Amino acid sequence: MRKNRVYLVAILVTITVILVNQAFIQYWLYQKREDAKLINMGGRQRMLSQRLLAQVLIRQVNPATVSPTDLHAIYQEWYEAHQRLSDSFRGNTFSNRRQKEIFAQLVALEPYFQFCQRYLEQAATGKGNTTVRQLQFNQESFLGQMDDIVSIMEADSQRKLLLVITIEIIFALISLFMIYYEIRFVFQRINDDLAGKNASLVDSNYLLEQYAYLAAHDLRSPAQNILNFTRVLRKRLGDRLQEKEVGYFDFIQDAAQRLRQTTDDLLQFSSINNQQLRIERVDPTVLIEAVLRDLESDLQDREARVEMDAFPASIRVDRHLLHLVFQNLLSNGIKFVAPETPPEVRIGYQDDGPDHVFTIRDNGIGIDENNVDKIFGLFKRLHSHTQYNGTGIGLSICQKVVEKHGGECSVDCEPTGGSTFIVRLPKTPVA
Amino acid sequence: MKKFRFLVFIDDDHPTNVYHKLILEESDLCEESKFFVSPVEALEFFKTLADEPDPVFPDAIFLDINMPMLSGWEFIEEYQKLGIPESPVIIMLTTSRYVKDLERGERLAIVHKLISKPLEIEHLETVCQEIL
Repeated sequence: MRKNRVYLVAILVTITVILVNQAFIQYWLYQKREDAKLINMGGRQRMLSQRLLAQVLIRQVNPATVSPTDLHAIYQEWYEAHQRLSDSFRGNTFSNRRQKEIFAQLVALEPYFQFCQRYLEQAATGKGNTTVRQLQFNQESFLGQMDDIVSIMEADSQRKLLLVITIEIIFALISLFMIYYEIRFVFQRINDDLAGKNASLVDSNYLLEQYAYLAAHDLRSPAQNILNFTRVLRKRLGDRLQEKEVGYFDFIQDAAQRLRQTTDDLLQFSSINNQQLRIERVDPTVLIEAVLRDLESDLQDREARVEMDAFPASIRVDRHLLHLVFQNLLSNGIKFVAPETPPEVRIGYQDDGPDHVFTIRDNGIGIDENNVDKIFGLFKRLHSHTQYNGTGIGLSICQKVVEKHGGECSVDCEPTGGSTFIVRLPKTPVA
Repeated sequence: MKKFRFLVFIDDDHPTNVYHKLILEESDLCEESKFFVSPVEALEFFKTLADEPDPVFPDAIFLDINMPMLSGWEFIEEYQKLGIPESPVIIMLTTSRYVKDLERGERLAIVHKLISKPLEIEHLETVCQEIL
């Protein structure tokens, strides 16, 4: 709980740092643009001052081409721009030393404009004794002053940029630190916690399996005893038993048989967990024929038909465990058929690149689509014992064995009935 | 068919012993038999037997693996410590098909074979043919 809070705080701080950083960058980008605009304006002022002089000189040569009104318009443009520029630097509480200096220098330019205005009035009225040379000197001086001001503006902008870069670096370092903190103290710990929980889960799984093994082991003997002595008793009583009593004996024997089967399957299931794979080269045809021999009486009783594809000459598997897989799948295939239907099972094979794929298709009752996910679960049974008997462990065993080989077990159901179990085994099993 | 002269059964589960005795009687394959619920008592029996002037050792010992106090495997160790010159044929009885048991059985030369309980007449017939 506490760790969760630390994690949240750390995330919030990181997000805040990133947001502030972004706002800061945006603000300074805007400032930089403003600065560039002002520097540009400064440059333009120099150009306008020179244009005014140029027009005055042209008028000197040929008065007809340039009128006093033209000159006044240029002057007006120049002066208004000057005022706008000055306003931009007019002091406020945030302005720094340089900005104040720029403002002072801009104000100091006023006399140049006044001189120029006087010259223009003289040009219009013809009164006065200011010479073109004096105006030229005035404009050249303005140009020099403006150059200095633009230099200061550029230096100021440059300094701001340096400040921004410095602050950016600091922010980046803070972000890096936060990320380090997150990883070192939050994620690492959460991870360690998970690893610990995982380990204890593995432990408790192991204990559970040990427990299942012991319970099954201890239950097997009593179940076996019940079976043994019921058989003995039944044989000894023989003809003395009435029909009803024979039925009772059947109940006892069925129950004990089921009890023993469950404990056997459980033992088998847990022993798969505990044992190492013993991989060897196995001829699948030989293996499946052995399984069919085990099931021979069942196959004959039900008049089952089994067809087989051609299999590769050898596959690398644990012979004993794979025997269990085929035994379970084939006995399911012949067990889950509608009454009075002779089972038909087809064992197919496909070479699928890195995998061997075996398919066991039956003509049985199929599996409801909703149950497809459930059937590999331990103790999962979809039918009552009177319908189809079994312990619900067989498919769990199959899945466990196949997964232990690094493969996977799945089932396909066809709408026409019947189901296909697919056993995918890697050609190179995981050791 | 040949018959066992003397067989010893060691299993901590009394009903199992009784059933095995029934099977043995039914099979009519054995003249004399002895059943032990306690492996310790069985060890003492063999110790006294070895001291007799003309001891008659069993043709085979049917030994349960999973017993409290002394497991089948421990029994074999203790038996070998007795220093009895004749080594008996031992048939291990197991409730499980636990692979580790099977592997261990394969490795011990003294163990003739492992049989999954319950013991049936066919088992006895096979063993009889194999060792007599």
